[in-house]
Parts: sequence; C-alpha cells; structure tokens
Amino acid sequence: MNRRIRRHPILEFDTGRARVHITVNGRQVEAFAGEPIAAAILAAGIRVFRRTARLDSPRGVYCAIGRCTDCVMTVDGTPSVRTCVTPVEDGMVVESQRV
Amino acid sequence: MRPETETELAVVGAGPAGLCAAIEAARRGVRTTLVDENPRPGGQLFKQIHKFFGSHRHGAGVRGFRIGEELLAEIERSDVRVLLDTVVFGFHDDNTLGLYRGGTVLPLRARRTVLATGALEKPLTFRGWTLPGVMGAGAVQTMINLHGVLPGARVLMVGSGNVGLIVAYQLIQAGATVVAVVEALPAVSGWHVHAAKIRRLGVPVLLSHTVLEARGGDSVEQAVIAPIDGRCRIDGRGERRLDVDLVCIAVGLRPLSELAELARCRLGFVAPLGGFLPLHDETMKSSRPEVYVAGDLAGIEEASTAMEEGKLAGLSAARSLGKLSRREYARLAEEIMDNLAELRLGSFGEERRRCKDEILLRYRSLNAAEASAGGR
Amino acid sequence: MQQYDVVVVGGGLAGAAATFHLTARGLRVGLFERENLAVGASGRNGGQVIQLDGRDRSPEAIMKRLRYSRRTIALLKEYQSILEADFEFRQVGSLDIATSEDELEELRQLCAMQFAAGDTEVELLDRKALHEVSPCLSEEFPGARFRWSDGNLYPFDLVRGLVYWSLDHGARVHTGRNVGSVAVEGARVRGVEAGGEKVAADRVVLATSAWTRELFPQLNVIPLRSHAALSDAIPEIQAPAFEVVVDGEIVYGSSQFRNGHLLLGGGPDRPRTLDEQFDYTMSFLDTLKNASLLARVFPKLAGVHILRCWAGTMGTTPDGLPLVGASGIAEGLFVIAGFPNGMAFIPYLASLLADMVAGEEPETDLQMFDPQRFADLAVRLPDRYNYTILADCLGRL
Repeated sequence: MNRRIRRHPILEFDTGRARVHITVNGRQVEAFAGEPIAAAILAAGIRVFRRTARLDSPRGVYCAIGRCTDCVMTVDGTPSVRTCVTPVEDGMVVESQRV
Repeated sequence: MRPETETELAVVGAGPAGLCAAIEAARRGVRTTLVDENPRPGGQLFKQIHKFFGSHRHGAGVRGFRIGEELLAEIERSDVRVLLDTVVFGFHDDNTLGLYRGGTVLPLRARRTVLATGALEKPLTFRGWTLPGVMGAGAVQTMINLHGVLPGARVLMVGSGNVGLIVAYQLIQAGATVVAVVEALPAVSGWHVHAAKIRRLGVPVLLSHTVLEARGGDSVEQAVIAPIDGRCRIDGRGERRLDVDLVCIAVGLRPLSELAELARCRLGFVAPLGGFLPLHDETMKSSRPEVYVAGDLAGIEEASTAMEEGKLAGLSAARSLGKLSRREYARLAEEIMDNLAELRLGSFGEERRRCKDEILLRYRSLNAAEASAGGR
Repeated sequence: MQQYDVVVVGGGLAGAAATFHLTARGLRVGLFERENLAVGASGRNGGQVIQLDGRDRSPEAIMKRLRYSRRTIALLKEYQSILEADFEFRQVGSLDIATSEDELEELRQLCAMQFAAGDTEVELLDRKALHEVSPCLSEEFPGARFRWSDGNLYPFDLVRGLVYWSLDHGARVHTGRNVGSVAVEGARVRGVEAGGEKVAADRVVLATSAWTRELFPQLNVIPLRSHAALSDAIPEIQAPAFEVVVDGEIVYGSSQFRNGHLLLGGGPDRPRTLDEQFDYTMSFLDTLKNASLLARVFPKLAGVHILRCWAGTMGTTPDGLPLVGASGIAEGLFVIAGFPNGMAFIPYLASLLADMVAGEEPETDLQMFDPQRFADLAVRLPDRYNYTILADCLGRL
C-alpha cells in the first residue's frame, strides 16, 4: 500500500526529488533522497519497525523528532539508529531488531 | 579566539527563537555560532502550513513555513556560523558546551549561550498506546506536511487544543478521514475558529470524552472511547468503538529543559506553560548569568512569541558582551516587550501572561534567597 | 511523636535490605531517606555481583568471604520469588581481565589458591577461551580469571522491590527527610531527629554509606567518587561483567541489561579533595574520557553511542570490608555501610545484622566487619585522592 500524498490543496511533494532505493527487512522500498528513513518506511505501508526484547511488542513511530526511540532500527549493521531523524541513502539496508 | 572551539555566543536550537537570537546578536557584531541537531534549521516552522494569526508585524496571514524561509535567508546573509547535525550533549561549569557531530566530539567554549531547545509532545498512556499507529500530533504533522506521507487513513484525534484542531484539519487536507476529536474537558481547548472549520467538514468534536484503548494485532485497527465526568471517572455505558488506524495524541507540549538543567539553570514547574522550565528574568536571562533562554523552552507559547523572545535574548546577550549601549538596548528591549505584551492579550494570552509574570517573581525570589545565603 | 522499633537511615541497597530483613522478623521499621530511594551509589553503579575479587590473598580470608557471598546469591534467588520486582539477576559470570602475561600468571596463581580454598566456580581463561566467553572484548587481553556464578542485576528494581515489600508488611518509609542527628541518652539510643521532628526508637541502623561521617566521624567510611557511562541499547551480546586495569586505572563494566544497555565505569579521574568526592559534575574532559572507555575495551562497539555519563559517591573503608554490626558508640546504634562491592554482600550481611538487632545470635558471625576495628588506626587520607591513590595509600597501612 502506498501512503504517499498525491494531491494536496497547498503543498507539492513529488516535484524534482531524486528517487533512491533501500531495503527494509529484505524488501525493496523506494524513497526520496534525503527524507527520513521512517518516512520512506511508512510510505511503503510498513507500520511495525521493531519488536521489544521482553514482551515482543510491535513498535513504530511515535514522536518523529528523535526523542522517544520508538522507531530505532539497525541500519547498515549499526544498531539502534533513529530512523525518524536519519536521512535515507541509496542502497541502505534497514532491519528490525529485538531491542 | 579559535573559531572552531570558541565563540562569543552559542545559540542552541535553530527554531524560530534560536534563529532570531542569532540574527539579532550577529547584527550587533557578536561572533555567533548556531547549533542544531537536525539536518535543516527552522525547528517546527516548516510543518506549519497554516496561516499565522496576530498583527501584520508578527506575520499574520503568512504561513509558518514562509516565515521560516525568510529567517533562513537572513541567517545565510549574516555572519552566523551554523552547525547542523550537531548535538549539544553537555554544558560544563567552565562554559564549555560538548558537541557531537559526524562521529566526533568537540568542545565549544562560549562566553554567552542562548538555549532555545524548544519542546516535546507529552504522551498519553492508555491500553495499547505503544501500538504502531498511535502517534503524537506533531509527528503526524511532520509526516504529512514535510514528507508527504499519510501515516493512517482513518484518524481519532485526542485533544482539542490548537494543535489537535489544526492537525485534524491538515489531515483532512492530506486526504485522511478524521472520525472524531475527543476532548477530556467540557469545552474546546483551542480557538473556536479552528474547531468550527473541522465541524463544518463533518468531524464530530466529542467533549468530556477520552480514549480508553487502542486495539489491533500489530498496529491500530480500532480505538475505544468513552465519556468522562468532571472528576475523570469513566462512564462505561457510553463506551464506543471507532474504526480507525491512527490515534493522534495532542495533549500538550513540555519544554525540553534537559540541557538547561545540565547547565545548572534553576527550573520551576509552571503547569500552564508545559511543566518544568528554566526560570528567567525579563531580559530572558536564566539563573546562570551567562545563559539566556527563549522560545518554547521558556514556556510553551507560539512561534510569534518565540521569535520575539529570541530577539530579546540575542540582544541581552549582545548587551552583556558590551556590543550595544544601555540606551540603545533599553529602546529595543522595550519595543520587544511591548510586542510580547500584545501577543499575550485576549482570553488565551491572558493565562500565558500571568504565568510569565509568575516566572519573573520566582526568578527574583531565587536571587533573594541566594543573596541572603551569602551568594553563590 | 513517631515511634518505631528500629529506625533505618539511608535509602540505598543497604538500608532497603536492612528494612526488609527487620520487617520480616516482625519489627516495626521506619526508613528515613534524605532524598529518594537509590540516589546514591546504589542507583549509580553497574549492579555487578562479584563474589570474590582478588583482594583476599590467604585461603582463610577467601573461605570467609565466600561464605557471605554464596549466601547472598542464595538470598538473591529467594528475593526473586518473594519480591514483586524482577531485578534482572542474571548469573552471566564475571571477568577479572589480565593486561599482560605477567598479570595473567598472577591470576593463574590466584585462581589456583581460590580453587584450593573452596571456590569451585572459578577458572582461568586463556586468550582463546576469553574470546569465546566475551566475543566483543578487545583481543589485546591475554586472558582472565572467570567466575561463572557471578553476574549482574538491576539495582533500582532490587531496592524498590525490597522497600515495597516492607511497606506492604508494615514498614514506614519517609523519603525527602534528612536525619540530622541520632539522639543518645545515657549511652543508649533514644531515636533520631528527622526533618526537624523527633522520632523515637531504641534501635537505629545507619545505612548511610559515604555520608556516615556526617553523623559519626569515628565510623570510618571513606567517601570515594567514581563515574560511569551508559551505552545506547544494542541487540543482545555475550558480555559478562568485568574489571580490568587500563592505562593504570581500574575500569569496570556491567553485563548487558535487559533493555540492551551496557554500563561502563571507572577509568581516569583526577585526584580530588574529600569534599570534592561528593561533586557530581562532569567536566568536558571527564565526559570524553569516560565515554571513550566503551570503544577502548570493546573495539567492535566503537560505533555505539553513549547516552549519558554521571558521577556518584560510594563508601569504602581502610581494609575494603564494610562496617556491619554494633557501632560501639551507644547501645542500640548499629551500622551497615562502606561497600565498594555491595551487590554480592549486602543482602546476607543485612540479614545477619537484622538478627543482631533483633537480639539474636547471627547464624554466621560478623567479626570481620566489626565497626570498631579501626578504633586504634589513625588513617590519614591524602589531601587529594582518586581510586588508585586511595588504594595505594590504604595498601600501605
């Protein structure tokens, strides 16, 4: 499911932005260069970013401002990266973690 | 003075308050370094796609992001050194700020500092609040207005303050359906003009209601709401289930006061302004003489007051560094204080004005207590 | 006026454990804490449970020490089922790491001695075995002494669990109340003055750690500042708690907490005066040096962020063993303080002390912890000290 906003009374989103590709848990996801990883993931209709260690609870995005650590994932092997404030780069490998 | 590790004025936070502080100080010849942890300056201005209210002087009728663009243009024209993607993790006794940028750690020694670190949304805890699909209103606003992504198609908005009402409207503009707005109080918290706008679009605003639960497998599929009485007791008979995939929490902001606290500024709890905040005087000086505060950090208000407070903090810092005369400072400061007074009129502004006065009182009694204890 | 059977002063682990054991014996306890639960060393340490370090060099000393620490492990397990708090007690082992072949040889001998003295849970690891047990550790270390029944716990939850159980069973807990003085009349304890009010009790237990000297300077608990850093949460790794001497300073680390964080502490700290041992501020350089310990000891984790650094004050004593027992200052005044390594000792010692306070004979004697053992010892602290300087100075006593 594509959650990108296509029509808006005031804003335009698609103009002139370069497209890149990242993989999220093995799945190819298209993104716009420079947008936060979390935006690309949500746009692709993916809602579960990780699961917690003790209760296996699904977690997604909560504050989107880099403060709550809900959205952390492993990016290119580095764990606990805040996907809401980290921009995508072409070829990035993003994975869920149990933390 | 080595530019890499020393500066006359460090401004932490490049939102409206910080930008204005830096611009103002730089205009007076203060060597200024502006630091922000985000890749772009502007704070929350850029997701404000609605038109601001207030007088023309304060940018009334202009959308938030345009004001942001103007400020950025001014910063670019100025001498301010801007460090983005840079976290300030420490504020040590010798006025050294600890900076973390690009994997390296740097000290920044500043003779004066303006803290304009802004605010954070308050969470609301209820059964299922950690499910994907429960998000802060600001988070939703960022996603829809800045990134063009709709995090959900059917929304329950919790909170009818201005943020809740405005984001509900913006969700509709972005193509979502707002199934309801719930408000715990018996009256709408925000401006009626905003409430009227969404009511006209068919969105029910349910007063004296709260959210009880967010339900779903791996993400929100349903929300349970119920009426509450004046003592927050839930009326189980009135429980309703709503078919939603996004529960948006708009229950207020709190100042991001951690750095101020690390800097050993004395904090005070002022509930209507968001909670713990650094006490300050009318020149925006905190209890630590080299540190000034401005914007939402100094109490949750608006972008317009943030900009004025930022200007004032920048001027006060410049004055304390000897960059402008007492007369010139007095003239400019008075103008700003008049602007602030004007922005704090009306039924909503009244409460904020009262709280800001309270902060001044508490600041003064801090000094009195310390003076009688023999000073610091 | 409030009245209790026993007043316990200090809301860290020692005070919480004392309160628990006294309450379990049916005594009415009032716990008074100046600030909040676990704000001192109990809330700032890494929660390492290390039953036997390298301090004890004779078989007798080793056997004695083990007696207390083994019973503590058993108690910790009991707490797990009694208390309504999961304090994450995990026996993931502890490492005493060698940084040179000479040191490894010393550890080999220490291991042999400890094993002969009855510690069957210790072994010497060579470089390869060490790497298997802690794969992220720097490969520069030639080996380590490994105690596999040691481990880690989460101190906040342990303190909270002990206090809440006590509350549920009749104890009263007063936080934000400073005990300014202990009332002594005719060489007997009458009570305390707390927050300006008199509280009556004929028994008082001081669990006041580095702050003991504020009430009774003759009880020689030496304040010692330390600092620590907390890493960001990372996916699960195998990493027992450890101690190692890096560049001449002791560095220690916890094993991983359930929420994924690692705590590392120690490292270089400039010598400070006695008053400065209570100074929690961290300078830029302090922070930097402390934060870089993670990368130094675990090079594979060099990219992991440090969330925060902080300082804290623990209490130690001239011989590194705590003061536990009758104070010798007044009848009814007891003390349980001075634990540079508390997690593996406090629970059992608190239980023995509770026996004593209740007027019974403790099942194991508390002789070696006699609070009066330093009465004839004139300890001159250096003007400025840190861990290393203090260890040096006390070693020469």
